[in-house]
Amino acid sequence: MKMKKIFFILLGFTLIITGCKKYLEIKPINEQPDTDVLKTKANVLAVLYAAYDRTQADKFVGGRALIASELYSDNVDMTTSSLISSQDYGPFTNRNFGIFNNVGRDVWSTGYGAIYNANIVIDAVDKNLFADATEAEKVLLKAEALFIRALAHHNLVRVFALPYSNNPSTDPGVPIRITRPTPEEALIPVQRAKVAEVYQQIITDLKAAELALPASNSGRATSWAAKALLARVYFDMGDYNNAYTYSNDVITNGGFTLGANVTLPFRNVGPAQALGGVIFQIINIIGDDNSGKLRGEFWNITAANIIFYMDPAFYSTFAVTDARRNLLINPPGATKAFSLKYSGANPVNIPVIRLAEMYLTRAECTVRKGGYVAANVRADYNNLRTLAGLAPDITSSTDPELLTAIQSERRFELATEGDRYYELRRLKQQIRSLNFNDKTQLLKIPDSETRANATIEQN
Amino acid sequence: MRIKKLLLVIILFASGFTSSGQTRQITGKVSSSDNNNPLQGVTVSIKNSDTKTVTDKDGAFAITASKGSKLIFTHTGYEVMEVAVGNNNEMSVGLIIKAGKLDEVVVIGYGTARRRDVTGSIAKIDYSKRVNTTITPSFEFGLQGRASGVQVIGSNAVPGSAIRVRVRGQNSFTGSGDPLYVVDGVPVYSGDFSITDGAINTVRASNANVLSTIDPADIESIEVLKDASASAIYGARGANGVIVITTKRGKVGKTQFNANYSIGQSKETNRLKLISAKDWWTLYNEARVNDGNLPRDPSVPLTINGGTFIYNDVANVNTDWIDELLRKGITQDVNISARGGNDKTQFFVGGGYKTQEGILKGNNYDRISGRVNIDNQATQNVKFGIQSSVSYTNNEQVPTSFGGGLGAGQSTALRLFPVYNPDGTFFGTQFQNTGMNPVARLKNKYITKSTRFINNIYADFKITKSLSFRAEYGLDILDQFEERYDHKINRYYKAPSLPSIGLAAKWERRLNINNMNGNAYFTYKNTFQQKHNLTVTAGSSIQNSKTKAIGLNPSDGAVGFINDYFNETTSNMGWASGSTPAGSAVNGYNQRDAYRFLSFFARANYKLSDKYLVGASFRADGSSRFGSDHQFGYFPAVSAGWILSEENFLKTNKVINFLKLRTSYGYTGNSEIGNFRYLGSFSSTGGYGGFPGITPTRLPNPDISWEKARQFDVGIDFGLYNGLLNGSLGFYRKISTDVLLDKPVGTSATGLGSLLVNAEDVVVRNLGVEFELTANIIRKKDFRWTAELNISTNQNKVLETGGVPPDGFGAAEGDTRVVKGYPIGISFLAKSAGVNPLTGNEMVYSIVDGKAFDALKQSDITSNRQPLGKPFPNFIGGFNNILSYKNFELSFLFSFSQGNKIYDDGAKRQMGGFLGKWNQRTEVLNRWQKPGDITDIPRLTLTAESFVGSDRNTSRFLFDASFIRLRSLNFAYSLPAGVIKKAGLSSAKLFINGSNLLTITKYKGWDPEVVRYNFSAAQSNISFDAPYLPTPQAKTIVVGINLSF
Repeated sequence: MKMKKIFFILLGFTLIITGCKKYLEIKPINEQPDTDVLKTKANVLAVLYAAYDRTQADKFVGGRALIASELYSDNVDMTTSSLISSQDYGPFTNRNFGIFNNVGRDVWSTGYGAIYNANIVIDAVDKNLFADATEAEKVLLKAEALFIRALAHHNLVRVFALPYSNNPSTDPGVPIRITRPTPEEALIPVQRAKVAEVYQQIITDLKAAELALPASNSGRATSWAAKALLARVYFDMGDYNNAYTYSNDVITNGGFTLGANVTLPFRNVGPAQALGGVIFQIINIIGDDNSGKLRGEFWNITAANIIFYMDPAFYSTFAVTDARRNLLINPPGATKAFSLKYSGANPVNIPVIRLAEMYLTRAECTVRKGGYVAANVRADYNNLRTLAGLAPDITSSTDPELLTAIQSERRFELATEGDRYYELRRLKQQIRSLNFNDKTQLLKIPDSETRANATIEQN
Repeated sequence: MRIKKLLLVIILFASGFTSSGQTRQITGKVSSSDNNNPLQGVTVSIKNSDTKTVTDKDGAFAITASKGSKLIFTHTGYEVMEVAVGNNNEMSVGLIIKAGKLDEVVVIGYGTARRRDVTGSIAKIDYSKRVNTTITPSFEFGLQGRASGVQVIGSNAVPGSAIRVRVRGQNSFTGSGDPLYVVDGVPVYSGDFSITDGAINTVRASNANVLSTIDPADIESIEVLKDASASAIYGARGANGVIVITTKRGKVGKTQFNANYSIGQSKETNRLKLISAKDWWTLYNEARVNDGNLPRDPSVPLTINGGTFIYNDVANVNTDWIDELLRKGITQDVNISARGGNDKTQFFVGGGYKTQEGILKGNNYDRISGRVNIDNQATQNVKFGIQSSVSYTNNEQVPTSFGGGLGAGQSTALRLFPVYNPDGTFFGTQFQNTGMNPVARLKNKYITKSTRFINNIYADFKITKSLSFRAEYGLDILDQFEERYDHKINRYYKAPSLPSIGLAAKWERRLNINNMNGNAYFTYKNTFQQKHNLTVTAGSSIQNSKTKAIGLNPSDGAVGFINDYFNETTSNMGWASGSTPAGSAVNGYNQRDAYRFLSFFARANYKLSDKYLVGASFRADGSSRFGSDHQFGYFPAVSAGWILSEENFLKTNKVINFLKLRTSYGYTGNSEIGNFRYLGSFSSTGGYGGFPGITPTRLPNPDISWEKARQFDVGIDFGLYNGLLNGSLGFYRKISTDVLLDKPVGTSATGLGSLLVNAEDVVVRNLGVEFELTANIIRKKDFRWTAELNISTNQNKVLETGGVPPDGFGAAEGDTRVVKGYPIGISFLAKSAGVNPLTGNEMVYSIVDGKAFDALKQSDITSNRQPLGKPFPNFIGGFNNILSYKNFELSFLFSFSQGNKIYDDGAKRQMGGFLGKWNQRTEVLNRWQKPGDITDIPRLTLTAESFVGSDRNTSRFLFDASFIRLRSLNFAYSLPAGVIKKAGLSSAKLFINGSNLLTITKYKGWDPEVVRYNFSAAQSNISFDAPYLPTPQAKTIVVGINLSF
């Protein structure tokens, strides 16, 4: 009797123990385990969309990466009290950055987040983790991921490192991340690669992407976007031959037109619109809008207490008839002027590269290469002047005349689009009374990196 | 041996014979001397005789005894009483409740034990006797100052807000530091389950506490299991201590009704002093002059914090925002219960209603609750029962701290701003921005309605005389409905080319938690050869917890109540005219979560000759929170005790009645890290251009496992002078290893900042001494005085951080950190050297050469940070006195905390020297003005350079938070028996009770008892000592009446 009882008790326990492993193995409901996710094409594509989403984020290309470059340079009025007293932006006014600065934190972690997502896609293609895609689909997925990886690395190296025009082979750039790390690998600190190495990686990625990308791709990366970005990267490097080749290709073969109005590039919404010669843009729609930061800080709904007013000295140099002054800056003639490129109560796409830049790049490259016809060079930037309602330049003909005209046009055309700082550095000019290669003007590598990577070279 | 027995028998016979001549029937009644209630089951025996009987349900007995013999009355929990038989044939006996604690029964995990046999460290609070439950809705307050080694700090005076409870310091960084709560044998969940998204939950700065759904009036006693041998039976969940709550049970005897009503008033314990609007304007202009500007033209509009004003127009405004936002709180409490039963069935039925208007305007809390506890002895071998409670709370919260409300009142709501415009509208509405007008914001509503059921059923089976089996099943259900309503004066939308309009909106969320828990265990209890006592318990436990939530939000800023008349539900919202509707007006979301536990446990206690005690316990805990290779953790503990007072050399000692040495060693664990953290996963976020995206949520680590704490305990329990003094002294050392922490990962690797690991090389140590003493100073029938003192010290130290630098542990606010060699939560600050009398700048000490210099740049601060401050007190404790004289009772409890410092994270902007946006404390009036001024407030400025942002923390804002406070004062008067009888009552008591009536502290802020709002476990473990714009504590006084019949 007693033995029987004990036997049943033991039997009961055995049953419980065998059942317990199963009992404890439950799966999350709101998330999917990473072992399963990448087994379908649709999911890998969704990871790619999330990579685009990181570039779209107001913390990166579609927001603070642009803001950082504008606050580094001289288009914004640095004396606005709300800017000075802003905890995030105030340090730009006196170049007194700390490792906790939120602009640095945002650009760094969101940029590398985009790279991580891109690397997951590339890894999934390379390792053949999903079977339900054709070879062509896989090639395309990888090419788009490579484009995003290059775009992100380029934004990071521009924001956090000295320019290519200084000493690219010795200056620290940013860490290069081109693999999907395991958690163990992620714990291993990676130091900053040299500026030249980072640029080389960007070019490698873009060239591979360019070959595989289609000419149109419903608002996502295209071969033209890759070529235009290559033109920008080579231009940064002072490699005017290559910059010419790519910008020329985009202008002549890309089929882009400037459109009828200077405001067009800044009023596109959603993936279907790309008016005004936009080659690549950050897409914002109602329900998925990250343009609020730019619209809220370069502009706002009450048209008062704006944080980034335009520098009055720069504003006063616009011709009174310039449409870019009268349609893209508000209020015309006021001392406290502000940009209207990112404005309105509703989402707008943020242009990343547009045809206007390609004209300016090709024009300058043509001069730099030498042996040009001055009228052809003038024609490039006169396209922009004409659109802005200004008389075309018919006089500039020497190297210095042309370069001055192009560079001046570039500043007007690309004002508050995050180009100015890199232009000044490429030309080795002083930036708000600091030398172009003075590290104190750069954001610090943020605490989110240094706390795990104490030996990383700091700015 | 045999001879001894024989001798005993002979003596008994002999004595029986000698007295047999004059025997007669004696009848009587036995009652409890404290309330005159009849006592059933009292053993009445005749001294030196075999004759004995037991009292019936009316306390009556009849026994045959002879004159001159002595009757001995024994009853558990009461002093043994001897009464000589005189001439009367009737007697009435009032037994006195035992003052000593040695024979009380304490609840241990999965069983009970007598206090004298316990080898672990367990604090027991006689909750129903000691604590006035009418003041706050949360029972945790009743633990304040009443148990050594237990630190209880309420966040603030908001009813139902979070309470920080720490047992023997703190072990974890990432895992929760909260103890496990067990109600009637079944773990219940604690914490805050409100919306975590601060953008939706506007009152987030004051966390809620779901334990406040438990009615304190239902609680009989609370045990705190502190050491390893006591808590290891709860294994994985025991590392932070276990708080065991026992609710009131039925009692054999006539049904006794109890009714209680009280009403009271409360106000803040202290008020922060801010400078007037006029002074503020003067200082503002002084700062402008200091910065090299001219004073402001008072006739020119100026915009600060979104409010535009012309100084000349508001020169007479001096709004006291704190006055506008605080009020006298009112609390009312009604409680009715009945308890009774017979031999077979006992019951307790109770219900309560509490309504509290908090001291913050608009903050109201109501709770209605009911409980039924029934125990039934079905057959001789089967007993079963149910403990069932339900409560409904309606909690109307208001924003505070960084969320606005009183937080804005002490910061951005400048005293220059009026509450109302001259036309009667709220100030701020003219700018479509009421952020600086916390009174206007009170038009918004944030209401949480929750229903919670805590139900347990159990069945006890007696299999043999010594073997029994118990099965328990508990169901803990929370149904919570949250709604937020933004009034149209506080929410605006501007359509292109249309004027801005006020647009009210609503957010709704429904949450359901379903927590099932089953225990089944055998208990074997036997005595061999009269001196070997063995108790063995073994069984298993399962837990299955599921959380579901759905919510509805306006999908855009352009969505709201178009027709403001219909503003009850989110379904009435639509797109504002002039906006571009994009999809549905209302967005929904969905959250699910789940975890499971499966555990096996065993415990054996052996006692030899009532002197030597040995115990061992073991628990294997499995949890779904870990990967399949690490699901199970194993937690053994051993203990030993030696009751010296049973030894011959002490047995006859007149002074020492009881003396026990005890020691224990064992392992406990912590797994409170959230669910599925081991698993790499993707979630469906990060869409682009209308296409869905999926994003990695975290870095996986399938190797994470239980956090372990090993604890050594040694203690001595004593009883002196026949129960006059009882106490214990204990020492413990608790070492936590395998600490779970989010190890920083460079964001360049993945964009994700951390990886959860068991850091083997991270070690936290808690060392402490605990002392408790109860003195029954006077034990007369009419006059009793008991004093209770407890004092404990805990030294918390991070021994190793695994090489992680101070900035490496994330989620630390107010510059609180984890630094090797210092307690968890140490502040990492530049050490202030005061204000340079020549320049008026704040100076800090360089960590390189120790020299003071003017800190001008952020990097001057950040590069000279060092660990400073003291997050934990040197000692905490309580001193309680309970006096009763005839019909009067008086008790007063002081609690104290000495030596801890808090970093006042708001003070740096209220008295840091930078102004322009915030109200200033009166200390600022003493600022530096000209060379030679000696002060600790620097030169005033408005420029960002001196802006005291997160990188500009210095030790100037570290304040000593030691205090001693009159935690509770209770005075009661019982109406005389004659009056009561006439009214048909068995007792009637009038009482007056006060809490926090008196506080002695040096701290100049609101209240030294404060914790920062803590959203994650990591924040509450590390940043608790850095409050930001805190909400004060309340002092309360209530009067009430208690009737029994």
